[in-house]
This record gives sequence, C-alpha cells and structure tokens, in this order.
Amino acid sequence: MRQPRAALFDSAFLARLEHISFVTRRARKSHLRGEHTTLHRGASLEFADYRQYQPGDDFRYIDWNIYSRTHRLFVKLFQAEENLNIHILLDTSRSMGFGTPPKLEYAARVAAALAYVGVHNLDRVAITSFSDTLSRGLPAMDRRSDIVHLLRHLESLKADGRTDFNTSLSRYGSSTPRAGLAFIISDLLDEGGYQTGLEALLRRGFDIVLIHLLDPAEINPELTGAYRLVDSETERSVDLDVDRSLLQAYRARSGRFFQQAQAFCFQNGIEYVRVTTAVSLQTLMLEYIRTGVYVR
Amino acid sequence: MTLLQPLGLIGLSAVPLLVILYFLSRRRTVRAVSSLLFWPHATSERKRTLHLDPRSSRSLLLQIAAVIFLSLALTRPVVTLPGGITRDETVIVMDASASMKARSGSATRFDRAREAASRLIRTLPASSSVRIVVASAENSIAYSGPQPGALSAVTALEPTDTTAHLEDAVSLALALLEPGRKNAVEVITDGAVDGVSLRSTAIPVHMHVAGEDAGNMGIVGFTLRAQNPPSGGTEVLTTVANFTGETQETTLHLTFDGEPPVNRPVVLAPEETASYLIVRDGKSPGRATAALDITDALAEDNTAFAVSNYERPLSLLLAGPGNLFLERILAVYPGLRVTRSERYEPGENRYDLVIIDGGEETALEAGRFLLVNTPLRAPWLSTRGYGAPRGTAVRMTGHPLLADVPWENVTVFRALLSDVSPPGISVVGRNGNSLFFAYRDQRLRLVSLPFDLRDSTLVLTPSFPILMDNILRWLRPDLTARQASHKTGELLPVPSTGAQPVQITDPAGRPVTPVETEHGPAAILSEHGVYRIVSAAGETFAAANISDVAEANLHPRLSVPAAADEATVEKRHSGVLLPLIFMCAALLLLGMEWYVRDGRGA
Repeated sequence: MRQPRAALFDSAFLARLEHISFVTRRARKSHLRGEHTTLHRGASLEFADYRQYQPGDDFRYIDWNIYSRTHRLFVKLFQAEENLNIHILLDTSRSMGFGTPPKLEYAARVAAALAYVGVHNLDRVAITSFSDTLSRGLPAMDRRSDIVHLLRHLESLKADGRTDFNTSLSRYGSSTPRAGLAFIISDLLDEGGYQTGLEALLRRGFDIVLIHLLDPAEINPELTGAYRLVDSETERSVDLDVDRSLLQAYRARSGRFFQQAQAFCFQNGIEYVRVTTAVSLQTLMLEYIRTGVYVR
Repeated sequence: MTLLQPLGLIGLSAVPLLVILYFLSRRRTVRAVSSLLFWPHATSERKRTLHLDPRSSRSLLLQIAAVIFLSLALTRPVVTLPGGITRDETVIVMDASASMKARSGSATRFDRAREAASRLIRTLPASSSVRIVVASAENSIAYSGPQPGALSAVTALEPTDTTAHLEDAVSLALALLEPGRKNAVEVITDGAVDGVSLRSTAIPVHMHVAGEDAGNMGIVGFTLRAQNPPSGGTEVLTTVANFTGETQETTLHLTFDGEPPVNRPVVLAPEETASYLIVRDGKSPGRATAALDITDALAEDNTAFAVSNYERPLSLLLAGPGNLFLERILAVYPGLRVTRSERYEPGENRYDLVIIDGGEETALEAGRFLLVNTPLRAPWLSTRGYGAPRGTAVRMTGHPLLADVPWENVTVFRALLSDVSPPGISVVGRNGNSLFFAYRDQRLRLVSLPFDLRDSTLVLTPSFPILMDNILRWLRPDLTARQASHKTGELLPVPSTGAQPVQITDPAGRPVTPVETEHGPAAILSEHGVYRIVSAAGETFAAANISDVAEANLHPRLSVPAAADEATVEKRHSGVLLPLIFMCAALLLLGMEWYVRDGRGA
C-alpha cells in the first residue's frame, strides 16, 4: 500500500524559497509582462539604448527630442521585463520508485519547490511527468493560488513505466511552443541514453537545469553474496556473486557514467546538478540550485 | 604414510556437506534494483553464474582442499621420508622366512626386501652405523659396521626355508641399540607373519612391507609313523592348506623310495586345511616325497619329504615296585624297549635310560636317569626328609623340560624336601624346596621328581605325557633325530660318535657346521629338503619341511597393535610434523578462500 507522503514543505522553508527567483540567459519573446528581466529590448520602464528607426517601429518610442536636434529618427529601447516559462520535467519511470525514500517522492518535492519559486515570481510554470511517454500534466500556471493544484498533482504521481528519456524530451520540445527554463529531474537510468533528448530541447531554445537524482544505494550498493538482481524497469534479471571486486567494477562504471553526463552537460551549456536523496531539500534548493546560473 | 588416528578421516564427511551448502548457496536472493545499467556483464552473467561461477567454484575447491588437509592433520599421519635421515645407528631386520621366497612380480619378496633395504641404507648418513639382523628360525647378525658396507651385506643375504621369529628379531635389534641416541630399527618383511606384538620402547621401530599379496597352496605337514605290532605298517599323514582365495582341485603325488607314485585327489575350499592318511604295508625304511601338482607363488611348500629311520630302539629300565602311570606312558612311547625290575643295581650300565621309581638313597655317576621319589646322594643336593612343600612353586620358564607344560596346574601334597645348588638345576621350586630338578655333566644326566606321583595332581593333568616326553628327550637328545620329518629351523642333534667327525650336508650338498646347544652339538635344518648325516654308525637322513601354516599363508597380515606400534618415538615426532604441515596448509587454503571469496583474488 502506498504510504501517505509527509507534508512537502514547512513554512520556514517556503519563506526562504520566496527569496529565490529564476533568470534565463536567452532572449525570450513573452506575451505578458512579468517580473523577469531579459535582454530583449521592448516595452519596459527602464531605458536601455537608442537605435535608428526602422519601418514598423512603434512611433511611441521615437525620441522626438533627438529628431528636433538631428532630424534623424531614433527610437528608444527599453529593457523589457517579461514573465518566464518554467518547465519542470519529472521522470516517473519505475526506477524512480527505487530508494529510501523513493526518488520520485524526493523529486516531487524538488519539483514542488521549484514550482513554488516560479509561481511566487509570477512565472508560468508547467509540470510534466514522463517515463516512456509524456503525461498530460497540469496546464501551465502563473498564479500563486495554483500551487495547491500543483502540489496535489505531484502527490498523485506514481513510478511506473520504462524510461524513454530521449523520446519523451524530444516530444516535449516539439510540442511546447514556448521554450523557457527547463528543470529536468531524472535518474538518467535509461539504456537508450539521454543525450538526444537534451539536445532536442536545446535546439528548441530551452535553458536546461538537469537535476540528476540518485539514491545513495545506487552510488554505493551495499550488497554481498549471491543475488538475482531484477531490473525495476525491464524486469530482466541477472545472477551475480556480489563481492568487493564486483562492487568496485560497479562504482567504476557508475562513476564513468556520471562523469560522461556531467561532461555532456558542460559542453552543451546545461546546468548539471547531481544529488542523492540523502541531501536535504533545503540544501538542494538553497545551496545547490541557488548557486546555479539560472537563479538569483 | 601411516595414519595414527584414522578416525580423523571422519572429517572428510564435511566435504559433501560443503558441496551441499555450496549448491544451496547457489539459491540466490532476489533483489530489485533500479537498473542493471552499472552492473558488470549484465547481459551475459546469468548463464555463466548459474552453474559454474569460477570464483565461487574456486572458493568451494579451496574449502574442500582445506577440509581434506584438516582431516589429514587430524589423522596424525606419519611418513618415512627418503633422504635426510639423521641417525647414529640403525638396525635393519630382514625377514628371511620361507614366505619371502614367494614370487612378487618378476622377482621374489626377498628381492623386494633387498631393494627396500638398499634404498633405506642409501638414505642413511655415511657416518652412521648399520647392523643387519636376519630374522629366521635362528636370528643372526649378518652385518655390523659403517653404512657404506651394509649395501653389499644386504646383497649377499638369502632367504631361508624357516619360520622367522620376527618379534624375537626385533627384540634382538632393540637390544643392540642404545636408548637416548638417534637410533631406529627398520623391519623389512612381507607382513605374512602372525602374532607379532612389539613392546613399547624409546627406540623407534619402523615396519616396511615388501612384496605383493599372493595366494598359495602348500603342504603344511608330512610325516611317517610306524604302526604298532601286529600290523607293522607305515602311516603316511599329509596335511595340505589352501590360501589361494579360490577352491583348488589338484592331485597329491606320494612317492616312496622311487616307487610309482600314489596319487590322491585334493579338493580344498579357500582357507581350508585337510589331512590325508595313507597306510602302507610294511615298514618303509627309505624316503617319502609328497608333491602337489600346482603352480603357485611359493614353490617350496608344494613338496615335502620324510625319512623313516627305524633304528634300534632305546633300552629303558623301569626299576621300582610298579607304577601304573609310568608303565602306561612308556608302553606307547615309540622307539623304546622297556625292561622292568624291582630295583636298580648301582653300576648297571646296559640300558640307554633308567627310571628309578622309589627305593633307597643312591649315588649315581654315569648314565641317563629319571628319579621318581628317589633320594639322591650328590654334593649339589641336600634333603631334609619328607614334608609338605611350602609356598607356590617357582618355575624356570623356558627350560626345555617345561616346554608346553603348565606347571601352575600341578599341586604336590608331599615331597622329599630337596635343596638344589649349582651345578644342579632346580626347574620347579623355591630355594631348599625343589620339586623338579636336573643335573648334567659329561657322564651323567639325570632328572628328578622328588615325590610320589600319587601324592600330586601331576599324573592327572593332560600335560603329564608331554612332561615325560620332555624328560626323555632331554635325557636322550638322539630321540629327536629319529623323527621322520622335521620342521625347517629345528635343531638336529648330531650323534656323538667319539673322535670321528660327523659330516652333515644340506639338501644342496653343502656341508653344515653344527652349533653348540644345551643338548650338545646340533645342526640347524634351515633348508627345505633331505639332509645327509654320515657318521661312524653309518649314513642316515633327516627330512626338513617348511610345514608351517603361517609360511604357507602369503597374505600380509602384520598388524601392529596401536599400543605397541606407538612404541616408536620417532613416529610420534614425525606424527607432529606432518599434521602441523597439513594444518598450516589448511589455514593457508582458508586464507586464500577468504581472499577469493572476498573478490580480492579476482
């Protein structure tokens, strides 16, 4: 029977989250004015620069004072403040149900915290779960009152299905018209790899924060003896005599995998955060993520 | 290698237990993991590990090896290692009994024994001293000297047709060594001996069994006996034993003085012994030969010989008022002509033997006498009249007069209290109270039972005829020489013929040198066959046969009882070293097993 989850956050933690906000490095076209600053010049209260008038420019931004002195048309450019699209992509494959606490439970709390930060800053937050397919998820929300629905939705998530990271992310990128800041929370345990999916999102203009979530037992398995190990997703089994040498080989392989993931993210401008469920949520949000380039 | 504690092998029962546990451990714990992505060989491991995982198999093999070594350590193994022996002195006892002539492959058992002895000698340090004791009917020291010369001495040894007194030979060997030094006795035998029991000593005794097991069928008894008148025929008794392990059907050929043989079918089951009696008309003065028509491992005992030497019977005077017991025994004793008399006249010398039963005190100077309840006047004897013997009689064990006579069953109620001093021999009795004594010098031999036979239980015991036989043979050793056949190893008394030497030749025609015994000079009948004795009295023959069931049975059956075998200090020492080695090996294997199981050895 599924155990009821504990309350996702306490109020003190929420209060601290309210001091966080996200930024993006890329220029965005936003339909609504928000509280986020982009380098996109447009309608804003804060003057940024001048440029020569081009046909089609809004007459309202022609600086007539300059025209009176130079008889040339210049338009004023303002630093636009627009609201940000936050995409939270949550891996809900069966492997995410592994661990103590289950990785999915931890991931849901991370997603909730991220969503809270987004909504609190009037960003549009969309949460989508994926395994081998994309779920429909919740409609994008930008009101703080929506956080209740979001939390309920996160609590209802179940770890099920195999991971098809690449397909799911590629499909998400192609089906989402508005790119933004994508937080991807996954254990990346997909034999098909993860690179294609991430590249698809990058091509669609997403800024990506990859939260690589693992259980401590996945990094340092504490097994000794004869085991029949069953893959939680594929249900394929393997008989192994687990001993020190095998564990060393395991750590070597997993270490290489982590390094490759980190190197890939670095090369592609993806912020990579590897975290285990042993790390407290506060530490993750207030230290790991806050020190990233997309948080201020 | 010998296991002093064979029960330690019970530890080997842990091996199947280990195997069972191993296969039980193959039943794996099912554990769900998030992914098999990081587990090595994930795709190919299953089939390989299901039956033969090299690491766990290595672990199992190491465990089994450790258990085997541990069990071996518990058995307290001892081994005689070639080379490196540190010895001051070694006595090699070579079993030269008849069974050592048995074939063992292309050679004989004695050849194998020689090889073993040579190997052993080569391992000894050149500075050590070696003695070689040949165990046969008469144990002898064949060599005594430094190690290098022992090899040629061993090569020169030959087996005999006699029965070896192995236990006596070992005792002799032990007596030659000095305790406290690095000494040892090495016994090389085929193991076909019975009743060997080694006593505990501080000197190690090592047994080496040479030759292979073999089946054999042999003649274990062959004798002639003249029937008493009036029939006057000759009884021929042949005893055959089968130790081949199979039922044997063969023919026994009996030949008398070159006449056509008398054939007798012989059918014997395994381990069966049977006697065949043939009665011949008339006394046969010559030789008889028995032969089994069989080819087996030991050829010597397939033939046997007997010689009928019916000489002039011994004349015996029985002087006394009449003694039923004595008369009855003398009547059936072969080769005697008994004359009765009321009394013995001093100086009477017409008789070969005189028995004086009762009568007055007498003094004897020459002749062969048995005195029964007769006072004797002699400087080595004093008597104090009749009385009840006091205390328990003490026997002179081992004296031929007491051979096979259990004197402890004899009670004497009244006796002539006699105090015997040297050169008199008190065979039974305490000081001043001898119940059975003897005397011997150049001219006189006498035996005395200083009590009325009716005042004792002696005549009621079954051993009384044996005692009489012992007495008569002691008084007249030449009685022995009249036997139709002898057992190899027996002493053949050499007839005393004054100044003329007696020539004795063995079956191969080699001269035999007599040895001096307490009965006088005698020849050792060490060879199987017919001996020729030439003296002033003429030519006579003596037949010697192996005639021993123990020699005919070639199966090794030497079992040294634990209490006696452990007499060997050296064995105990080596019994510490080997278990220690095995124990260390077991611990090493367990360490390796831990190393492998833990994955470090992968």
